[in-house]
Amino acid sequence: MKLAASGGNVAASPDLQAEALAAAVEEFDLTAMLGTASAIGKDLFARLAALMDLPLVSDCVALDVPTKTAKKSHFSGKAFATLKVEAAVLLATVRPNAVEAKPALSAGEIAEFVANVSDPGKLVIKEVKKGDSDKIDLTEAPIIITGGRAIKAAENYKMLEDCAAKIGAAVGASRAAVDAGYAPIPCRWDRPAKPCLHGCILPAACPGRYSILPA
Amino acid sequence: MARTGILIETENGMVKNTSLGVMTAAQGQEIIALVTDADPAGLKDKLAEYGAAKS
Repeated sequence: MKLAASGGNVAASPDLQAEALAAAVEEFDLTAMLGTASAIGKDLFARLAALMDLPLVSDCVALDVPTKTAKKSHFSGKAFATLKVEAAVLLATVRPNAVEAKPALSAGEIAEFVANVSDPGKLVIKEVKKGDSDKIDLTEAPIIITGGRAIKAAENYKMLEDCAAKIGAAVGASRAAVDAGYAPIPCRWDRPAKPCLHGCILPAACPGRYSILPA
Repeated sequence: MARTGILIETENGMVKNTSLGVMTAAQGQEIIALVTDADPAGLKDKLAEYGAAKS
């Protein structure tokens, strides 16, 4: 369903998008509103939760929508919490690739909903700087080659990038490597927090805890 | 059947696999896939394949 707003372009304003989503929840009598725990999802669902005065379960690793129950990982996957939401609407974001996509064919129909909402004007986006669009998104990559601090220098990442280009992989970096300035922040890949799409990870110059194949 | 809304993220006009995973988590519900940054007509088949009743 195309979600639009009478008060402007929803894709250009997270506040307006949250207003439009809230209107859609009311219009369609939704019992749950879900999204990905991506940068966009984290930003938007926090706004939506505040707007609708609802609890938000973010970064779930599993969900049972009928019972409004969500499972969350804590301490890098060493502990899990199961939360039951008592609110009328379950708001949750799901950790990328925590749930494997499985087809379940439905008829599907195209519709459009134009919410009668306007931008509250609390936020003005002046510029969007897009990353390198040629590179594969870490959350969408079938294979991740990840480098650690032992790679020793930013220029040494070129080896990983060359290798990744040959096999259609994305290049990730450990927190330590990013902190050391060897790789840009978008490359940061933390194995417990970001499962690989198909679970194939090639660690290079990483400490032992990353050297596990597959994910 | 209870209705679940799912915010679909796209990249280069394609549904992100991560959003298909979220749809899988909601299977068994009537799924309404909400798209803000792309034309849903081009995504209909993919979204219907993963259970969207409306897209």
